[in-house]
Order: sequence, then C-alpha cells, then structure tokens
Amino acid sequence: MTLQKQRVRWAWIFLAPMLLVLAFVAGWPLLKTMAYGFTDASLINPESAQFVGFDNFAFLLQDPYWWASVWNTVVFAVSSVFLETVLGLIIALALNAQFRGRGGLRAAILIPWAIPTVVSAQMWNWMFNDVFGVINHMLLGVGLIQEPIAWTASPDTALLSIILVDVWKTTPFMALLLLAGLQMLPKECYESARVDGVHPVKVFFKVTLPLLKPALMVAIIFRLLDALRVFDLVYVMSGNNRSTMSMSVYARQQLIDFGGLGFGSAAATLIFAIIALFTVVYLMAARVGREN
Amino acid sequence: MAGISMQTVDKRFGKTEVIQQVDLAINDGEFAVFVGPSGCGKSTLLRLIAGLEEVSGGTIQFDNQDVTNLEPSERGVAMVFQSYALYPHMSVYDNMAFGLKLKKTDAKTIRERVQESARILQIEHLLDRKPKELSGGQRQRVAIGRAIVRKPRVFLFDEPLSNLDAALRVQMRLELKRLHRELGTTMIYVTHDQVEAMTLADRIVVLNGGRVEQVGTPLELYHHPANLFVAGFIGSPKMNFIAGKIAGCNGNLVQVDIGTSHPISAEVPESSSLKPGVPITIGVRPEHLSDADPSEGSEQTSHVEGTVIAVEHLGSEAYIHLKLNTNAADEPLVFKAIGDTGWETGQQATVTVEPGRCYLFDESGNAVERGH
Amino acid sequence: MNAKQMKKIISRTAFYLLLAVIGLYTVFPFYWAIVSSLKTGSTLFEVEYWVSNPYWQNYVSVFQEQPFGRNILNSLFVSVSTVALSLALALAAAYAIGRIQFRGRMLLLFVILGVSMFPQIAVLSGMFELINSLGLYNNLLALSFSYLIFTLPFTVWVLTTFMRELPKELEEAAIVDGATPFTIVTQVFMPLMGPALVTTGLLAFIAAWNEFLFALTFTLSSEMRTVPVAIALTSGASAHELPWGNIMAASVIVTVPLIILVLVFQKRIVSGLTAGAVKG
Repeated sequence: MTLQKQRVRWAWIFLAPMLLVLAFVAGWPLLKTMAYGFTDASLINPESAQFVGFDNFAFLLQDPYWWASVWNTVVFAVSSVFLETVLGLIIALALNAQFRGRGGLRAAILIPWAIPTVVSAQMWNWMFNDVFGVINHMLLGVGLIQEPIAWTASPDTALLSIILVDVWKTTPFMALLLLAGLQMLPKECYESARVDGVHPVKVFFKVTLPLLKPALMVAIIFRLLDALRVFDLVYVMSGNNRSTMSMSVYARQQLIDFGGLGFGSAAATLIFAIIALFTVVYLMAARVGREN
Repeated sequence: MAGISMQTVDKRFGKTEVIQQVDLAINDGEFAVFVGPSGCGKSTLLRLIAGLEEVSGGTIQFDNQDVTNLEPSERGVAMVFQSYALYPHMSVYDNMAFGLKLKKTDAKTIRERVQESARILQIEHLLDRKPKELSGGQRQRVAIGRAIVRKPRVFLFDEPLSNLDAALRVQMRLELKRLHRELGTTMIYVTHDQVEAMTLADRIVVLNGGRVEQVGTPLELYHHPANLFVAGFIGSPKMNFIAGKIAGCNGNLVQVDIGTSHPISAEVPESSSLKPGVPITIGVRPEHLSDADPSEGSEQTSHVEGTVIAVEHLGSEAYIHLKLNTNAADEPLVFKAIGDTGWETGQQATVTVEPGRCYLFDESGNAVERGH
Repeated sequence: MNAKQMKKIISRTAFYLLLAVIGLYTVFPFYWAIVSSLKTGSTLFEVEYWVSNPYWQNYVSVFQEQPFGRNILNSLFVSVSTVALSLALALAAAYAIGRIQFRGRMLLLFVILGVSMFPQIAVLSGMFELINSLGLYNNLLALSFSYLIFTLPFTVWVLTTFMRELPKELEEAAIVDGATPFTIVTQVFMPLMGPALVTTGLLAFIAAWNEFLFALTFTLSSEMRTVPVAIALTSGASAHELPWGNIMAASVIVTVPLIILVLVFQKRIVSGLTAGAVKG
C-alpha cells in the first residue's frame, strides 16, 4: 500500500474515537432533545410521551414569558458585547503601547477572565447589595445618587447589573484577542503614516480599524454566540426572576423545575435554531462585507 | 545497494505537471546528482524515489524490484534533509538509533552500528548531546549518521549543505565524497548549485521544467552539452551565446555571421549538413576566449571586437564584459583574463575565438555535433 | 515650559490615569472579595477598604458548615478526568486533521467548530435522559462525560493549529525511519507538543472547573456538587441572610489557585486563546 493510502487509513483510525465520543455527547443528545420537543414527555416519566406535533412550539410562541426571555437575551447580548468591544479595544490599544509595568497590567486583566462565572456573580452580588454593598457606598459618597439602589432586585436595574458583570468578566478576553490582532498588524503602515504626519486619531480610523476588522469580527461572533446562550450569570444573580430571565434560564426552568421535558426541549430546540440561524446570517453578512 | 530505474514517471499536483515522462537509470553504487533551477522538479523526483510522494504515472524499480507502491521504509531508503530534521527531544545516540529500534533490531547490533557510524563521521564524543547543543556542521553529520546506521540500499540527500557556510560546505563536500568511496552505496543528491554537482557527481542529471535535459558525467556535460539549457547551466560564469546565421561552409569549418565585420569560424564534422542561411546560435565559454595579440594563432582563428563595459576582478583572474560592435542588442560577451589585467571600461578590445572551442545550437536549441 | 511640552505632559498623565483605571477596574472586585472574606459577621456590614484585623473564621466555617472540601475534590476529579480524556482523543484527531490530506477534512473541521458553538441548553434534556439511562445521575462521571461536549471540540481545534506548525521534514524523517503514524504521534510529536498540551489542557481545565449548568442539573446531593454549584447554592438561615463571609471565603479559595495558574502560564494562555480564535 502506498504511503498516502496508508496515511488516510490511519487518519480515520485516529479520528474514530473522537468522532464516536462527539456523536455520543453532542449528536445523540441534540437529536433526542429535538425529538422530545415534539412530545408531551414529563421529566418524571419520559417513557409515556405522546407525539404532539408542533403543539409545544405553538404554545411557546404565545407565551409572553418566552418572548420576555428572548428580549432579555438579545438586550443582554447586544449591549454587553458592544460595551466589551469598545472597552476591549481601548484596553488593547493601551496595552499595545510601551510603558513600564505593561506585563503586570496584562496579567492583571486576565484575573476577571480566570474567575469562575459563578464566583464573579456572587462577588458582584455582594458589591451590588442594596444595604451593605460597596457600590452604593461609593456612589452615595461622591453624591451621584441620593439613596441606595437595589441593583439586582429592582426590575429597572437588574438586567443592567448583569450586563455590567458580564462586561467586567469578558472584556479581558476581548482585549487579549484584539491585542493579538494589533500585534500582527504590519509596522510599515504606521511608520509611513507617521512619516506623512497623519493625526493619530485619523490613523486609528483609517489604518488600525480596517486592518483589525477580521480579528474584530471573529472576536465579536465568539462573544455573541457565548452571550446568546448565557445561563450561569443570570441564574446566580437573579435566579428565575422574570425580569432578567434569559432563554437558557427559561428552558431549564421549564425542563427541570417544572418537569416539562417535552415543552422545555421545544424551547431548547428553538434556542438552538435561533443561534444557528443567527450564526449563518452573521457569516453571510461577514462574507458580503468582505467582498465589498 | 541498488540500481534505480524509472520508466515514464509523471507527477501532477492538481493541474500542474511537476515531473513529465521521466525515464532515468541510476547505476548501482553511483553518486548521482540532480541539478536544475528552482522549480525544475528535482526535489520532487527525489521524493518520488523516497516514496514520500506517489507517482501519478509510470514505475520505479530498485534493481529488479518494483517499488512504485511501496512505503519509504519498505524501499530501504535513507534520506538527509536540508533542515537536518533531527528529533529535538532525543539525544544524538537516540536520533541515530530510532530507525533501528523501530525495526526491532536487537540492542547489541544497534549499539555497534551507532558506534561505527559515529566513528566514521567523527561524532563519537557527541552521542549524549541534544541536537540544540550542536553546531550546524555537527547536526549535518548526525543527520548523515542517522542515514548510515540503517545500511540503506540508497542514500537520498535533499540540498543537505545549503544551510552551512561556504567553508564548511567545501569540507562536507569532500567528506561526502569520502563516505561514498567507503560505503559504496548508491547516492542521489539534489542541489541547485552546479559547482556542488560538478564536484560530487559520478553522473549529473540536469532537470528543467520537470524534464530531464541531459544525463552524463560532469565533463561530458561541460564538453558536450546537449542543448542551450545545459550549456548555459553548467559552467561558471555561464557560456556566451551569440545569435547569427551560417554564412558559408568549408570542409570541417563553417562561417557564422553575427553582424560584425568578420564572421566567426567554428569546427564541425565533415559530414555536417549545415547550409548557408540557416539561423544558428554560437556558444563560447568565457575561459575559451582570449585577449592575446590578434596576430598570433592560426589563420582559422576568428576575431571579435567590442567596447569594454565592465571589469570584474576576482584576484586570480578577471572577467571582462564586452559590448560587441554589432547592431543587435545581444548580451555582453564575457571573457576571462589574467588576474592583473590592464583592461579598463571604455577601451576597445579584440578577442580571439578558436574554431574548436565553439559550440553550435540549431533553431530549436539542440546542440549541433561538434568537430571532435 | 512651552505649550508643546505642556501638551505632552498632560497626555502622558492622562495615559497613566487610564492605565490606573483599567488596573483598578479589573482587580478591585476580587480585592473586595478578599477583604470581605476576612471580616467578622458584624464588620462585614460596614464598608471599610482595608482590613486591619483579619478574621480567619470564615475560611474555617466554610469547610464546617458545608462539604466544601468534598466539593473541591469533586471539581478536581471532574476537571482532571475530562481534560485528560479530551487531550488523548484530541491529540490523535489533531494529527489526522492537521497533517494528513484526506477527503472531508474541511467538513470535519466545520462540524467540530459547529459543535463548539452549541448552546449547552440545546442538549440538556437529551443528555439528562442519556445520563439517567446510564445510571449516572448524581454521579461525578456524568459530569466528566458531559463536559466533553465543550472541552473536546476546543482541544481538537487548538491542537490542530499547533500540530500544523510542526516542521514537515521532521515527520518525513520519521516516515523514512519506518515510523507508523502512531509512532510519529506518540514518540516524535507528543514530546514536542508538551507546551501546546499544557496550554490547551489548562484552558480546558478552567472551562471544566467553571462549568455550572450541567453540574447544577446532573447532581442532587450537596456531597456531589462541584465548587461553582456549591458557591451558587450556599444559603443561610433565610433567603435574605446569605452568609456573605463564607461565600467570599469560598470564592477566594477556588479562585486563588486559578489566578496563580493563569499568572504563571500567562503567555501560553494568551497564545492558546488566540490560536483558537484568531487563526481559526
């Protein structure tokens, strides 16, 4: 047997265990979840499930709580990713400059990224505490607010609090990706711009940003996909609270807390479909953008 | 040990044909060098022999065994790479022993063979070191040692010296030659450097555009290049080419009109069928042109005149670039002069051409048979 | 001092101010958690930016009032086992994808990337059923197993990019030496992939250590909980009286080792993150 044929055979031998495991942990559960979505299965007795067609989906589309969770998720994803991108870009540009203690600062911004989400949620819960929280204390101290705000409890500010925590936690990831992107940009462009005496702000918008766009697009899609499936942050900061509930929290509540295996699965399937659709649209838009 | 023969070998990568219809025989125990410009397919040809690439057509035989569909290890080849490709995490000893261990050779034999190869290459004191602790030349020896211990049927070298500095390269060249004498194994060596090819090879295979242009001993290629490409590739500085046409034939001499006042005479066999008016390219090597007094020499000697446009001093010799007094925009004519030559830019010079030193090439670039 | 120098000093000061704000913003919340964890029940409720008199009792009671030691061991077991399994499977797969030309390679990479984007919720009920039918509910193995859904695609992806960077001639030398692909992976490439394996393993470890949804759903008893679930579900006498001192102490305990790891392997983590994202 020739070398190439031999190697192709080895390739499949090497891939088989990984593919088998992936089929088992991803493929099968996904199909099973989709299948459950068309039944009235309950968590206590999954075997007695009856096929109900699109009933679950029809009900889902009429449920205002589902729509509220979709809205919360979209608001959360768009605003936190937007803030992260802007802040991340600022931090990346700052870290790209030469200064003493740069390594230390770069290490420091990894800290929020390394902290488990649940831990950051609890830390900020405590900082956001209406009576004893340090944030109210600071804001009262400088006179920005007149009386304590119940950050996580009040429907007006609960989602905002969650967004702020997410921004804090994931901006470093964004900043590091963008920093890596910045460091790959060709130096000559900047040197020629400096020789030509172009204003730094103009350099940023005319040179840096266009060159950084590919890295930026990748980082944004990664973060958006992450944000659209958010669960732990929302769950730990405000539980199954309707005013902040994300799609994932909604689906899990139906599935586990209410025991609605069929209905919860339908919600989960819809989330999957929404995210898949979003990904396809994003990738197509990115391709169209590239071609122009 | 093995002789190698290839029959109508083709290699395509997608739509590009890298090797086209190559027929080639390399004798048992021969030191063959594949030479050609970059992209000529010489490395691909070597990799086809190694079995690292699969042929798209044709067959490859070692002695009388068809190895076309065998894996590299089944062919019994050993290869030395340009980047040495030593295993960085293994000691020199383990690098050399790796192939034998994989073949389940017993420990005693492995030790003996590694020791012996190390002795031949004078790297016995390095056996415990890691590759990163070695100099470039030492790494090269280890890479060769790794090939030797396996007692292969054929050694394959892929530009093994091009990462070394000039002095070391000369030394390793001599060592490779010595190694070939000691081992007597067939060796195939790929290089783009024609000096390396001339000094190392028993026979040289000149490749161009995926085809074999000519196969022969170094001196055969020098004296009897088969075509314009080989004539231009072998020899340094390269042969001068002047386009012209046949002005007249006279026994074993032809007169070639190159647009100067006097035609150049070149020697051809009596049986030559060249006719006046036929376009022809005349080739003369710089070392065969002379700036000696034009009045000397036989009456068959021709003269060419021109203006000196550049003088290159190499110390032991000098190369003079001459713009010929013709209207054609030919490349300058280069000739070799003594080291402390008095030629200066702008001077008028006359050089003499011996008829027996001329090469003729017909319209399609093929060599016309020489007079002797 | 002329206007130009003045301008330079101002912009310099503004830049360092920006750096200070960035540093403070990223570090303060964790600093605050440490400060809070060192306060007694009563001083906890007064805002003080410095602890003059550290109180260590929270660190003791977190282990006494709940099986927190057990939770840490659970998290370690789950994370280490899932990472080990992922790396073993992914190393072989990465060699196949990164270094062998075969039909369907791009499709395979696309599928793997797709799986890494799966929302975990989309497989939750199917996974729940699978785990029940395997009899693994409320069992740590259920977590080791289910975490492969996010650690495996990630490790395959990152190791493939590292695998591609290894020199081609090294592999060819091994082929000529008579090495099978299995030998090449285990004896030639694996020793060279050491740093890449550390980086990838560390990132996968952090992801597994921090996972919450599966851990919350597939375990029941507090003895089987992993650290994030234990911290999220810590409760006091009533819903409004959370034991903040304990929670902060627990948070610090599980975060400090991670932060040390991250600081030690800082450069490698950044290269791993960017290998997974930018080059992909």
